[in-house]
Amino acid sequence: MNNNSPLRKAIASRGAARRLPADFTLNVMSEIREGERVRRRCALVWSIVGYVIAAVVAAATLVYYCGDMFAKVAMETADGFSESSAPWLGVMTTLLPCVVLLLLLERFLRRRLLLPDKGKPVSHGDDDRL
Amino acid sequence: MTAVRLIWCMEKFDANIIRRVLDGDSESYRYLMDRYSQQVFALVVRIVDEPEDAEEVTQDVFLKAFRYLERFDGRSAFSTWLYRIAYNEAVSRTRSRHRLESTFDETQLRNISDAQVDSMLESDDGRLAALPDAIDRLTVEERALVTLYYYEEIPLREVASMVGLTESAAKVRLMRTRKKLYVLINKLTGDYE
Repeated sequence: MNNNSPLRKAIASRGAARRLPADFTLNVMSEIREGERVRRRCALVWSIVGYVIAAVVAAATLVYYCGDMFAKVAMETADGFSESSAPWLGVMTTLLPCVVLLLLLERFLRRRLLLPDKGKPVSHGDDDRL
Repeated sequence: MTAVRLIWCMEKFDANIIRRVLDGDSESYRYLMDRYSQQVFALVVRIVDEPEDAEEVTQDVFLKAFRYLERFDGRSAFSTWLYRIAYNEAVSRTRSRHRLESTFDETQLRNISDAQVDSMLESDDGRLAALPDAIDRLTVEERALVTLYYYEEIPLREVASMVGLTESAAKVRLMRTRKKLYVLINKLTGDYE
């Protein structure tokens, strides 16, 4: 196609004076960053939902197949507590490790999933020069 | 360095950037934007009815391209893929405005030969001053077709794939558009009943 063709010239004249503003890339990139933040948050929520469902399914499966065994152990433990001179000590020795485990798990999840970028410098590519 | 080698290097560079973006480095996307934003804008501003919409459409194009980047399979150049998105965005934005377009009698168009169109486009009798107005009155799809083929100088096969037509259908539509321009120019200059 000839550069001097009238058709090409007429098309070129449409909006020829218009250019994108200088901050176009910055605006789109900030929108992308925001979108990514939302996407990551959604992914996190869905992964937590997934973990919860998996945990419920695992617990239900265990109770369904091994419920009788757990009930027997629980009965024996309860009998043991009532027979001991300090029942609260038995409760504490069972509950305390569970609480510590849950707290450690919560800390791990919060560090690894909820605050993944904590402490990292936020990079804005070439914007750092501005 | 030959042009082919240069294009190959650019495509390689684009592929590298795309891989980085897909691996989670979304900041690298700015290189693709810096490279292609003015080109996409130049295409969009020539397709849409209102030039004021062009910036917003261009922004939507890059946001959509980022969102669907994993669907880019590398069979075509990244710019071709981006142009396809730009075409779809510009067409859907312009269609939503429900513009009234000129209607044409098909037999009227069939009676015009390609030679007549060529001779008018090569003539220097002042009628061509109406060409920009005639382009304004085309449908958005037709305007996109002539822009991609005559202004961007993209091969017809690629243009056809961008606008979702076969190569022969794109060729027929391009010929029809040229004839429409012929009729419109003559109507605008008062040479046609």
